[in-house]
Amino acid sequence: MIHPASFRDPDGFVFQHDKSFYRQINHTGRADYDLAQACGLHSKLQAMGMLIDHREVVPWMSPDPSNVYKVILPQQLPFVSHPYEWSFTQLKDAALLTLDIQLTAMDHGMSLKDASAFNVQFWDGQPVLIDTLSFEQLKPSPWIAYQQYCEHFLVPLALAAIIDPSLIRMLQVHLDGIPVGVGSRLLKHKLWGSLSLSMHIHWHARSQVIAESYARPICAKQRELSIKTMKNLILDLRHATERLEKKHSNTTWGNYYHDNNYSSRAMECKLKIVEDYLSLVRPNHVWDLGANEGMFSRIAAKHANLVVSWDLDHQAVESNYLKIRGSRTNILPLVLDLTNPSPALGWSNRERASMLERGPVDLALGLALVHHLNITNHLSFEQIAAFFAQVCKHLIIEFVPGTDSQTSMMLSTRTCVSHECSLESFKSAFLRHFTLTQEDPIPDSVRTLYLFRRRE
Amino acid sequence: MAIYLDPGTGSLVIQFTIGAITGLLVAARLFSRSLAALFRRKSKAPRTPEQHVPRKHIQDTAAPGESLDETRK
Repeated sequence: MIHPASFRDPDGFVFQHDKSFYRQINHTGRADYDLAQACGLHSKLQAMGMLIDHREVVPWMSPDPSNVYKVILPQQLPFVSHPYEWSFTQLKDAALLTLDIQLTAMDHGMSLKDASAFNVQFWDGQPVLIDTLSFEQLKPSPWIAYQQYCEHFLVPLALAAIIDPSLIRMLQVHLDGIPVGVGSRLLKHKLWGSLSLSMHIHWHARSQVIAESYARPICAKQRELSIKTMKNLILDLRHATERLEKKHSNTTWGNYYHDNNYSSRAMECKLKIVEDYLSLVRPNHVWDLGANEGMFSRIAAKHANLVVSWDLDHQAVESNYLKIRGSRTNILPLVLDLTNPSPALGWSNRERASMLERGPVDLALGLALVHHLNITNHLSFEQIAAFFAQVCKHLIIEFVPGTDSQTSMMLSTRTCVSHECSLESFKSAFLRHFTLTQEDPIPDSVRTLYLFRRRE
Repeated sequence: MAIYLDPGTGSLVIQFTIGAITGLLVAARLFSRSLAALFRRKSKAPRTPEQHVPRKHIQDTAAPGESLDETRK
């Protein structure tokens, strides 16, 4: 089956066969693929961990045998995230990776023919290019991927750094990148002091308007741009990208671990109980929902092959990523609003998988989370239990009663019918979808931890 | 007519102008960096591609098809 997002490149496509993902190289992509192999570009990038590893296989399983030149089996990724789920530094690292790959490719007489943020994935705590077919022979002409780089990386990063990090979510609406014209209007006078950003965003947008209003096509592709000039352009893009820094903002959840009502004994016991539950289940994939800075994701990472550490708060996800960045970890921090999770997007709603389509996982963690969904978001325990039953086979969840000091504070400004927030109502809702494996009150607190197993 | 013209054309054309200016900018940055290095014992070097952590090669990892359930792309 051909991957539904793999239709843009005439030189090849990704397909799935027997649970593995393969990439076909068509005859039209033969010259560039062979050149990237022969000049040592693929092996150099792979040795540096910048490009996903692959090996060639016998192409008997090709879904389009008339066009097949070769089939490669890339290293299989355990999880695919989308750029609109990344924090500021994740997007920035992916951007710098793209430019570093372009600079390395130019040294080998090749160039990136696209600069899509969707071509980058996070694996082992660092970004990696997953599109082995992104290279073409270097020609003395303008960089064909320049607009895509600006719209997938530079504009979202500038918006996030200068206005608000949550604007990275605009990539969910503008799947093909935030148009430079839109970026230019939003950033207006905010780029004073950066000639590079003004050129790549404001001048760039203006040039597009002029080209669109020009009465005949401009044959820019045929005009020559020296390799040296192109390299200077890439170096300047890199400089502009690297200088973008996110302003530190104090968010509701950014300081949670230093500002909660757990005694040190309660926290120690909670960590121990969660670890015991994890060693009992021995999951392969874990989703930590409402992970904050990932304290419990780090515990889960010792027992699982992959832990996706989701949180609503951009600052918490950013801190989580900065802690694991480059450390060869199996934790992947991502931004997610649980009340509005990433939907299925793109052509026929099949290009970018929704959050639920990327599950279910072996185990989900929902620690200090349910009372927020229940009280703040007015979701019933039944709705919450039904959601978790779609997401995971095993569930570690914490119940926080109305007598807890933080819940009392939340209830002081909101209304909640007492029986709807009670332990009985919580347990009966979850027991409709799960069976109870373990139940442990957290010492020195009024909270209780549960380990559930989904009913089949 | 305008709607049939790809806005990407403007993205290609502007590279001639920006490319000419960035040549000067890159040279100026190199100059200021070497000047700063004279006054600083250890200047903070920009991140280079070599700083990416190398991974194990595919041959060293799980055999194809092994533990690949729930993989994507």
